[in-house]
Amino acid sequence: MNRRASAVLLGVTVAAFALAGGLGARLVSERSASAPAGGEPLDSAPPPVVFTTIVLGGFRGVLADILWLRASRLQDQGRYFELVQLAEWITALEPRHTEVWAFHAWNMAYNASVMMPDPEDRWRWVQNGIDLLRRDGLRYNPGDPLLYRELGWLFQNKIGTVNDRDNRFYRMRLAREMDALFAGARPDFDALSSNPDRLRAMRALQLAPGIMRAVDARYGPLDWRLPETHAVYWAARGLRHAGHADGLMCERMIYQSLAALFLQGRLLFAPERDVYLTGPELDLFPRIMGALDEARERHGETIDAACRGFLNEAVLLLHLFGRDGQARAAFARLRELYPSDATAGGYERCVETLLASASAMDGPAPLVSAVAQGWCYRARLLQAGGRADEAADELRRAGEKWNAYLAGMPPERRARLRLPTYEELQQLADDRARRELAPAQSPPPREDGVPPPPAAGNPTPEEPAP
Amino acid sequence: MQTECGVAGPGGFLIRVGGMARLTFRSAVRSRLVLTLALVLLAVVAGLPATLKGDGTPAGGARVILHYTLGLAALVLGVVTLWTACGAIAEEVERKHIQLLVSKPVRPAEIWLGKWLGILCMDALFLGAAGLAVYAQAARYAAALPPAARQGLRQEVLAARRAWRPAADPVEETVDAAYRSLAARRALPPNVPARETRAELRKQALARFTVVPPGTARVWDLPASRRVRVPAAGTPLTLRYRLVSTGPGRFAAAGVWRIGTAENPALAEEAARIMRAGTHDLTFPAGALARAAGEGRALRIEFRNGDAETSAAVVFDPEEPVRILAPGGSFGGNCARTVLVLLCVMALVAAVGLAASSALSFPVATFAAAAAIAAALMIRYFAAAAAEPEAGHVHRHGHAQATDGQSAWLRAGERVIPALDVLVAPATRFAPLGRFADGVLVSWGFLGGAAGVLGVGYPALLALLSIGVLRRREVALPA
Repeated sequence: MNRRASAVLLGVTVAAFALAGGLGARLVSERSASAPAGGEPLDSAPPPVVFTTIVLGGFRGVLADILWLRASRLQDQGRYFELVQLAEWITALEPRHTEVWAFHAWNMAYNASVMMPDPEDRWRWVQNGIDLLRRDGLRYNPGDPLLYRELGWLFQNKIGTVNDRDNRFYRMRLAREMDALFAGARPDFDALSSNPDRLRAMRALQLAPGIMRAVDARYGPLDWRLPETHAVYWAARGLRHAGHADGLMCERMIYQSLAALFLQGRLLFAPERDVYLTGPELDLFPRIMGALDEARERHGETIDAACRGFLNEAVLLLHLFGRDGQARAAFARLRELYPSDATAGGYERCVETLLASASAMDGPAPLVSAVAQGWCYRARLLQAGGRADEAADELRRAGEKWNAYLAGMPPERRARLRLPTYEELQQLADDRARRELAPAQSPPPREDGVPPPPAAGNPTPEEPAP
Repeated sequence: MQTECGVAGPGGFLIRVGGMARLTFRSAVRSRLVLTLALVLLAVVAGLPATLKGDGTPAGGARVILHYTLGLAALVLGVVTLWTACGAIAEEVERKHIQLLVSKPVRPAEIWLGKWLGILCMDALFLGAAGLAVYAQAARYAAALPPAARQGLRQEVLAARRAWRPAADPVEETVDAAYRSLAARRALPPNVPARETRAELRKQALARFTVVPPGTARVWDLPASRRVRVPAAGTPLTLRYRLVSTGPGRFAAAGVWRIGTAENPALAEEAARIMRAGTHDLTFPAGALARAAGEGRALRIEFRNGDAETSAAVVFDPEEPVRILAPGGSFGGNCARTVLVLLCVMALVAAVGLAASSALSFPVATFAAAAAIAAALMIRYFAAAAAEPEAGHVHRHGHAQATDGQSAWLRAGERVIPALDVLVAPATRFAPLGRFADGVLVSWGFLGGAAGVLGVGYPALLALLSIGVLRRREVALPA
């Protein structure tokens, strides 16, 4: 080849490179426009991942398929020890595919975990799933709302519901971890900056103090030892990056988790004595109502069923726990938004209907438990008001109903729900009374913050109230 | 290629082959690409363990390190070997160095064997280094663990446990007996070919041996074995079993495993709650059972399934029977034998590369050899698909409207693929990494089999083919 031809070819090559460089920026911007969450270059990915994705080009899909087949085969054989590594490689090869991250996290947290007989092993797999999203998924896709929602779902559904046999173990482990990290139910946000160790530990869990504070201020005060609080946190983070459709999913997660916290957001936790008891967190009522109103504004009637359900529960529980002012406000809102025969008769009539329905004890277990706690608490209120006989009657009825409820439950379901005993219901009522009533009217606290067991005269499941 | 043999006798043969091997080895280790890949190999064995993640348990972490580090090292070395072998003869032809070679008194067989041995020496060097590095990495990993976890790891993964299996279930004998019984009673189904009747009887026999419904038990007898070592004090024995099903859905099975001797069938007993299909390990504490095993006495294993209210039916895998894993050797020895089996694999890869190199130019040889190896690794999947009755059904009906030409291709494929599978199957049997990473003994017998099949059998066939090609090939054409 002569020199002239070489020079021409060199010139063409340089021109092609220049053209490709010029088009590159446009292509990137168009890709970003068409896929807001996945279009940006992999700036946040570590060099090996960037190198792999560029060098392998189209072949990385083939390699990901091969690894995926291996993972499936090993999983079929019941050999799970390579699953974490394979999931990490597959997601690194397809770092922009939300579904790939979501699948592998879900596979570990749900499929692999339930195959383990030991709760400790199960929890490790749940954590592996969470870590995959929290540590790597969000690093590569910090603007993908679906990943935040998937992460929140693991807290809301896997840890926060009773779908898993060992859900209580998971809740305990999460609560223990957070309790150790925050030295209590929630961090002291003002003092965080002076504690670099705590900040480092929080950073490892992707818990951003600023966002936590904002979430707590907007929806709280929240107990950060509870999985629903973490679901709210991750959904709120996802909401920052979400469009309309993704936003609805994140908002749903927020108000569903807040509604769950309304029923069981007050935690009595003493791990050394295996105490993990939850009761209603009624202070959240205005915050939940605010979140629902915002969601209704944006998404209209798709929120109605949730909103109506919450308002009914709120009227009932606020009334049972002696917060009549808030109960009436909730009723007014219910009547305004969803007028019906039940609301037409006024507040007293509505409460009467709800109480009759609650007495049937056939609702979801958290609601039934909250109602039973409400009865016990009412007895404390009556006692504090000098109406001891009525209080004893209320307690007797509560004990009979609750024990009958527990006795009618199949043993496996009872073990899975791990509902409080009647004695524990009273501990919760005592704890609440100590916090909310005047000191003279409530029983003295124990040194470890956990209320004492009921006095000898109090009824127990084996010994119903007289 | 025509050469003359100037030095006669075995001594001359060895000298010529040795000289050729030395030249090949020197040329290979001086190659830039080989040097680069060697550096990659070094990076793999040195750096990969730091980046690998197990399932969070010490045993899981160690298994992943052992499997992937040695596996990736073998993969990189396989590429180096194939590349070197494909260039060994083809590049000499292309550069016309072969003209110099054929003018000397060296036979084609000596050229082929010398080059093959030279490449194997390079492989042995790299694999030896990789094996030592993996051993060191495993030791380092274990040293970083707390004492209890370390001990568990040494018993479970950094070990060489011999699998002590019961005699195979007499499935075929049962089928024969049932078939004879049906024939004697004139109860064979009419108009059904004997093959299909026997296939149905085989399914029933397999079900009898593998399914344990609730409330029933299954017993396996392990014959006396003198090869099981007397376990050290505190060394537990592992019972390994594989289930293909545990009843419908997610229902768990719950049963009791007992191991003992004929005189005392319950030397050890463990309850098991089985959540899933797959491989399960159950550890039995050392004691009377370990002593009985160490003395090589016959053992009896029993699985008694729970009742129908608490348990589901379990189905044992007929391909992987219940077995006891007992101490059978040291981890270091297992590592060395694993490396030697991998060397046998490299011997076959080198032979494939040299065979391609004897007939084709370098790039074509590389492509053809890589494609042949990839096809060989995948052929069993195609063969399994071809053997599926459903697949046949689809072919018969799905192609009813196809042209005759397509049908002929498909028919040919259905015959050729199983034949190729039979040809290749012996070579794919020797995969030592799973055993090694699982702490299961890679025995001398396994190594001997690998040496015979991968190190001698297939290479000898390929060598004959290559030598035949080399003898007839005109390698000294002018440019």
